[in-house]
Amino acid sequence: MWSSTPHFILTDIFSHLPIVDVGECLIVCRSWNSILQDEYYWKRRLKEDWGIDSLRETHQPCSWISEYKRLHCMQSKSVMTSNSEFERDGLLALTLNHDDDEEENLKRHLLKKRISGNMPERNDGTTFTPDWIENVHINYPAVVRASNDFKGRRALKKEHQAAWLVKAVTLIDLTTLAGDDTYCNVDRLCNYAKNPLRKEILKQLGFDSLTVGAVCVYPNRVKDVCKVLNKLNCNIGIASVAAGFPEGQTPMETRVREVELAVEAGATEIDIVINRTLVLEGRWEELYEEVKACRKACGEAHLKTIIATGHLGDFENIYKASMISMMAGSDFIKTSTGKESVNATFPVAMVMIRAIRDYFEYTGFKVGFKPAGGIRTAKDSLQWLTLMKEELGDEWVQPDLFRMGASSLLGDIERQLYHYCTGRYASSTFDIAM
Amino acid sequence: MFGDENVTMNKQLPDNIMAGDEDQNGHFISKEKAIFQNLEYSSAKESDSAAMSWINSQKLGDFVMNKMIQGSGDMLTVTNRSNDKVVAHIPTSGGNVGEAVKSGREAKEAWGKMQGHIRARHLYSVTREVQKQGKLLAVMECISTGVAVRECKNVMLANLVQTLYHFTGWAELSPEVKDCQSRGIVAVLLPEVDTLTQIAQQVVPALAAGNCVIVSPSAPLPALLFASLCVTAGLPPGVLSVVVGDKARQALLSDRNIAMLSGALSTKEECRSLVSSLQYPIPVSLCQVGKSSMIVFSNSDIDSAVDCLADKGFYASGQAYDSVGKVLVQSSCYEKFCKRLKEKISKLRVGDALDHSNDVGATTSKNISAIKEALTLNTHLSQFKSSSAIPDTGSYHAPTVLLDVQPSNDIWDEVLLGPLVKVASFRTAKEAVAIVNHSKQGVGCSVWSEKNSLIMQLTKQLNVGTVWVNCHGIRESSRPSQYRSCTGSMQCGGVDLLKLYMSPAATPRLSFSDDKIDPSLVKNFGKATFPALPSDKPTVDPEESVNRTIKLFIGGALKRSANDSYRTVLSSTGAVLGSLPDANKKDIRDAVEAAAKAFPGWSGKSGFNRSQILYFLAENICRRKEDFAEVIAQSTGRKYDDGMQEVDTSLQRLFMAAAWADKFTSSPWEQKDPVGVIGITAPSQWPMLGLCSLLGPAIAAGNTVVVLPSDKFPLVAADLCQVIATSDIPGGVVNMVYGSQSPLSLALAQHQHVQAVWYFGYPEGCHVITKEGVENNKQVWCEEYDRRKWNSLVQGTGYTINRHCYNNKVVVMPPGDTFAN
Repeated sequence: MWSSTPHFILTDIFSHLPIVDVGECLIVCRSWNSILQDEYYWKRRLKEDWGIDSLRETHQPCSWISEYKRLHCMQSKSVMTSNSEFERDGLLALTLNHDDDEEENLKRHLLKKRISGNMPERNDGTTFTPDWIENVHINYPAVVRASNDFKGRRALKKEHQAAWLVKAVTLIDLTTLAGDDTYCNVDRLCNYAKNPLRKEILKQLGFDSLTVGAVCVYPNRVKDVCKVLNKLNCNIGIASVAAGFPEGQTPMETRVREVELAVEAGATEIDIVINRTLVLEGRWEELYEEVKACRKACGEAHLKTIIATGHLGDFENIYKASMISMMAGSDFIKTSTGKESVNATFPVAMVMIRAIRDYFEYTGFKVGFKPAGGIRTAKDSLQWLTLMKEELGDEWVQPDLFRMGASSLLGDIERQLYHYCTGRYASSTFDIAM
Repeated sequence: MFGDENVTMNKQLPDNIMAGDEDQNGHFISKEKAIFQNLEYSSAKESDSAAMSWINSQKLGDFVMNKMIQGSGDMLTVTNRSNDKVVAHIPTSGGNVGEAVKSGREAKEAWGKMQGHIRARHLYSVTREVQKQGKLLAVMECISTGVAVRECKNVMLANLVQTLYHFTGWAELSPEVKDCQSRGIVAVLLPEVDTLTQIAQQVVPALAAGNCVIVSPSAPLPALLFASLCVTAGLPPGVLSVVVGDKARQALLSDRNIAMLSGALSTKEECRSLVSSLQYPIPVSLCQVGKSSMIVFSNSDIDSAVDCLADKGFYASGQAYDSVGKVLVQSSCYEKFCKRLKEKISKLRVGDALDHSNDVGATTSKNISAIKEALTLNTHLSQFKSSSAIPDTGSYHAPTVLLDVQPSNDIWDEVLLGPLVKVASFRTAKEAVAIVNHSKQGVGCSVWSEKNSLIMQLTKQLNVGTVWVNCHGIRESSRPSQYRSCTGSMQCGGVDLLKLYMSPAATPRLSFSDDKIDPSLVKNFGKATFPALPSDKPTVDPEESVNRTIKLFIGGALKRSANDSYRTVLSSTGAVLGSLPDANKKDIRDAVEAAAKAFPGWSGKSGFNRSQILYFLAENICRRKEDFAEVIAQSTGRKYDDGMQEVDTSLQRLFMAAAWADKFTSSPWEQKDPVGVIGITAPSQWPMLGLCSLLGPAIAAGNTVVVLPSDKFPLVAADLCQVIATSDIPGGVVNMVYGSQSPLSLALAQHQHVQAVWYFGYPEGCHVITKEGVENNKQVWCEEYDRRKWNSLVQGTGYTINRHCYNNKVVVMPPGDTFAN
């Protein structure tokens, strides 16, 4: 009976099926499979299910069906995390069976999901495109003035303040980068990262549990972090600085090797520093190649590129270094190592945010932003969050696109929340001793 | 990040979750959790309780003799523009103006003559009180004008405080301005919006200059509060009064004790009707509130330009000088600019002006209807506006941008107060400058480019009071900027602003009369013409000399008058001295055209070059000084020695003008631009000295002039033309038109291309010329002819003359590029 049914009727029936069932239909028989390879069907399906009526411009050829598969992969989080469910999804299975390239992508995707939770589609990077760093004009006083004017323009009071502060907690990369770090204090840090706010405060605010964005350490301490987090059964990000952090003045081989070793040790996020010499000498293509090499060394771990704004001399260099880092495939761009004289400031952020916005316009890839160094107070953190919301939108106020590198910030946030919940100011011994 | 169980849950929550709902697991959602999800802002409303209790504690009325006086009469209902709630009723009888003037007269002697240091202490005390009650003042401005409280506080109040400090300093430094003295009682008219800024720009310098001030505000509350703060500060009674309402304003204008009128008004009609109702010829500095422009080049930081426009463009809901009306964008970056601007504008928040988290507050209903009308007429143009919801009560208009407005469109040059920005594209810098300069208003213009040579050229070429480079709306009270859409000159800072409220020392009541203007004389001014009849005596003895025909001096050549009739000139004894052409309106037209044509070349010359030419002119006059002395003696009946002295003093004046020529503009950041074509009606009593004292500085500063020489003693001017023609002065820089001064001066004042008129003549003439000046924003300088002693060094030279020769221009270019290392 099925074989005598006209194709257009079958197509019509298929178009009413949930997509998971369509996947199953795909593997029923050769004839159904060939009917379901119809590009018009997928074009319509994309429009209906995703509201998309044009294909992304990528450097690889793209078909409607492959685009659908890509989006479907990204969305199916439950599928990603459990193998049994995964096998039930015919569309994904088909993806694995029929398309080697997609298979590779999907594997990477799954791995990524497993190690870092809910990251969106990664920035694949582009070829070196000097056009994007030519004719860059950034007027320093205008940017400084605009960033000063910005402060205080949006209000967060009372419950809004509390809610946004909780949001800020989830965006922190809790960091320790000191010569005297040992298992002992890393253990303490990881425990703190898993329970950044006291239960009583959380309960009063109506939250069950939450964690910070990631823990950030030197490569030698990554193993310690893995050990503790495994013990705690906690899968938050494990970030490691690498590539000759903080100055980057070491041979490329050792920098790349450092990245590889950190990933091997279990890091899921790598914060590299760029080679400032190349920026100051205008050797942009070399910079691109270096960052790209680091990205490759990262494998599935996410790459956060520190452009060390305090060393770049002017805003145009900051913009260009940001753009080059994104072209080379950074998942995040980060302001500073925390070791320069000037760290995360608002004007610098505005310049980097512009680069992120322009890069998104050029490629469709969303790149995250991480200010680091000098963010100490709860008030500071709220201003950073409002800046992201105003300049880039709500998406950039989520852990997959925004992090704050900080160590003492969390204590101040908790003090403010304590005050919100109890009406009393916290004592200095309230902070969890680190 | 959340633990696993929460990640799933959070992701599945819909975007619009509400506090109090349950999620699908049956868990109660706290309000914090809801905000955590939807990332909403809170409001941050400034309390108006202090302001309201001040209003309620006062018996509001006119503020005279340091207290509120209530009169009978109509009640002015003051509403909060943000929510239409009535906040106060103020009686407006207009009956207290007499009291206010009386108190001013009593106070002005002591206040004007007060030792500078003591006056400075008084102003310092006012400054401190204003700082202490700053928040109250800002909230009061916010309530009564509807401007966002952030701007009232951070911009207007900050500006007021800075200005108060600046002019406290000038009061202390009064020995530095001893060439000037206070005028007496100054009437100040304040606009509906931006009151605090206008208090800073008018009331404060007028007080510092030693005047008593009577304020007639359109939005009375901030002015009344300011006045009462001055009492707290210990300001003597009568120094500052506030009278409320239209009747009071009218009464103020017809009071003979008012020595000067200063004001910023919302519409040209208001300016026009005010000047018409003036009863005495007093100095007027009136300015219609206008908006600034913006030029964006493709080699600029476009994102910053957009950020700045979204912020400053809608300053005071687009109802103040520093807000942006017109934006010119280079076509090569037009699309990018508009795209960015659209994103940015859509995020602007409109609403309750007292809420700190709103970007744009309320707009006056009058301005809203004007904007709506303009938008209805231009539905074919694409536009975008902020996506913020408009509150139900109160008068609001969403910030709107209108794209592709052509200069030929009527609304391009219309001053539309309110949150509307017009955007157009241009191709080249030259085109952009032309479009900006072809505007009725030259308030300020920001230039966005990273190319220095271009910027420097534009700062010279733009005919505006302030050029902001890569910024907009930055004001400093110490810098001498100037609005160029004015009658009189609307200074906005520095010592020039102080001196605007002062008259030359040692000449009390220099420019106004005790007598009321006779309306019939005003009506007939410039109309009465006497036919030029041939003389019944012989004009020349052909055996002794040759019959001389004097011609008009236009464009460097001697021209026959279009009227083709001649008037006989008699000596003091009645002897015939010669005959002169009797010019008419058409000759004025030709002369102005010649002057306009010569202007770019002459103003483009270096000051050094102009000074050389002026010295050369003096040199050539000196060689013929006996001739001039004789003509003066013959015409006026004075002694030859006396005439010789006038010639010598005239030479001194020309030397002084030459000396000034290369000293007007001293820096690229504070320029003194020539005004343009100046029409000079020369004083009649000093035929050569009066003329040289005015002509010299005018052309030294780079202006070109059309001179109407004394019609009583015109022959000196005719001789002077011969010397001018042979002294390397380019044709058209000086033009002389002979004839009856009154009709010709009226013709000059009515010519749209004359940028300034200087009139020394009858009181009714002063009145008429001032009124005509309002029509096309001319700068008017009128004095009765016999007031100034031209042979005195103080009155015949110096600042009180020079200041009319140029327009101040300030270039604001914030420095900075290096960063960190």
